[in-house]
Amino acid sequence: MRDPIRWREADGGADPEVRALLANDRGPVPSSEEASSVWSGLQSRLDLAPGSPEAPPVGPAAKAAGGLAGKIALAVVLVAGVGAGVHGIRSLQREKAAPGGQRTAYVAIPKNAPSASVREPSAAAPRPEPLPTPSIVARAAPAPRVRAAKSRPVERVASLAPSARPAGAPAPSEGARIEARAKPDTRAEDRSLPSSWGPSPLPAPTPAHAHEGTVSSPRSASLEAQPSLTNDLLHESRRLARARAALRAHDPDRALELLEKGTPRTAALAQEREALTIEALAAKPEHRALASERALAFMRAYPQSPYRARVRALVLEGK
Amino acid sequence: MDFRAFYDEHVALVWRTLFRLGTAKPDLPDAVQEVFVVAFRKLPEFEGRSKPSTWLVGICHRVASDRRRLAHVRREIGDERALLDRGDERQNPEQLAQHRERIELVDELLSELRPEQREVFVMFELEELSGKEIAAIVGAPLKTVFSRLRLAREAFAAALALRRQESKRALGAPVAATALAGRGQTP
Repeated sequence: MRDPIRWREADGGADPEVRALLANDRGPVPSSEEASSVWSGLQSRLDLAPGSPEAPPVGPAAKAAGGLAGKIALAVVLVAGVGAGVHGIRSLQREKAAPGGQRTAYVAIPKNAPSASVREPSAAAPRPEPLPTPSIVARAAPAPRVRAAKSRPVERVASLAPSARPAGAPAPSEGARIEARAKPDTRAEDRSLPSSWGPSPLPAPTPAHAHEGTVSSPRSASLEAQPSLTNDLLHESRRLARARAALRAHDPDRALELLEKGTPRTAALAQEREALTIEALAAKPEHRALASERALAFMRAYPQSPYRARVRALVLEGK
Repeated sequence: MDFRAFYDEHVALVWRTLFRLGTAKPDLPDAVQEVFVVAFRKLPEFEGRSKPSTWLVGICHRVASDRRRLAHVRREIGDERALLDRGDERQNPEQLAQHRERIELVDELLSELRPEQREVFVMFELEELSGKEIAAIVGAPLKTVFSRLRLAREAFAAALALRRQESKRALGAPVAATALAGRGQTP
């Protein structure tokens, strides 16, 4: 079946007025401020270092194809941009002061040479080196499928639990606890809900004092956990992807089963997990009130979260 | 090309595609960010069988669908004027005004279409994707895509004709006989 001729074309068969409207329509364009603002949010969310070093040069095949980029398909491969050699995982810890004085810890997991050392978090220590921006290297088609193990984008962990907790265990935030106490616990009345579905303790932004005198614990935990850190993240990422697919297939029960099964092995992707849980709960009329409750707790705990708009919409939807 | 360059090259496409697919203007920054987060995470899986722009339009389609499902979009034109795109900063005020008017008109007409027709119309007529590409994105057979396009075109043209009639009535001008004749009516 051939494509019809577009209405913008002279012989597309459109009314002249329609054709003129479509031909001249370029759509809305973001202003430079808007584009910069979105980019800043992306930098923060994806842990892209500001002022990252120049990207590695585009490969020779891509250079040759560059002139025809609009016409031929290019395989785009994401590489870590940290040099040749993929050997293992290194974790960096750094602290970032969030607005309002809260501190949020980030763990970046790039692929890097095994000789790199883990830096210990300390308020007095200089900031660890920013991670280079992941690079996109274009190669001429056909390109082999990139195996997941070879390129892994940098993931950002919403928070680190205080050292007293095992790595990956969610920590209740003060705001969430207060919010939870403010509401009567109806879990006992609703026997159909698993006990974990109540107002859930949310992973907390790490308080300012959390790292004082605890340098050794997160360091040793991260060193020991290195081999399994990426497995935990992969596992969590896949679980969330399956839950998302279930939601898209209008199967919130399946999504909830995936999201609530077991204790998360890592605190990474906690916001996304919670946002998906709220969405799944909101999809079931009998759990809408609980979804609203958790949505409010989420918005208090993560005022700057990129999932805030979606979670807020769920609350409004339920009213 | 690094991710920043990739972003700079495609942010305008993503912005206008999301808007045309029905994302409300105040939600555009969040939605655009969401598209690029997905793109960043899925880049390792991108096999290059389509253009990066086509691939991004596919992600826009999914993000816009999800948002449509979650939120009731209620256009408050008054509040959104402040967020209206500023167009090309080199344009003079008259050109800018025409530019905005055109965007608003196309948006109004697109809102008359059913969602599945709107997305096909936007992707085919405005973003110039092929039928095959659209079929892959929306997950429907090619025949269905063309059927939706045909219906979308009819609805779009009818909505424009109706709008013109209403404008003329508002101005007190006699209704164009041809417009009515085109709809099977007599003056």
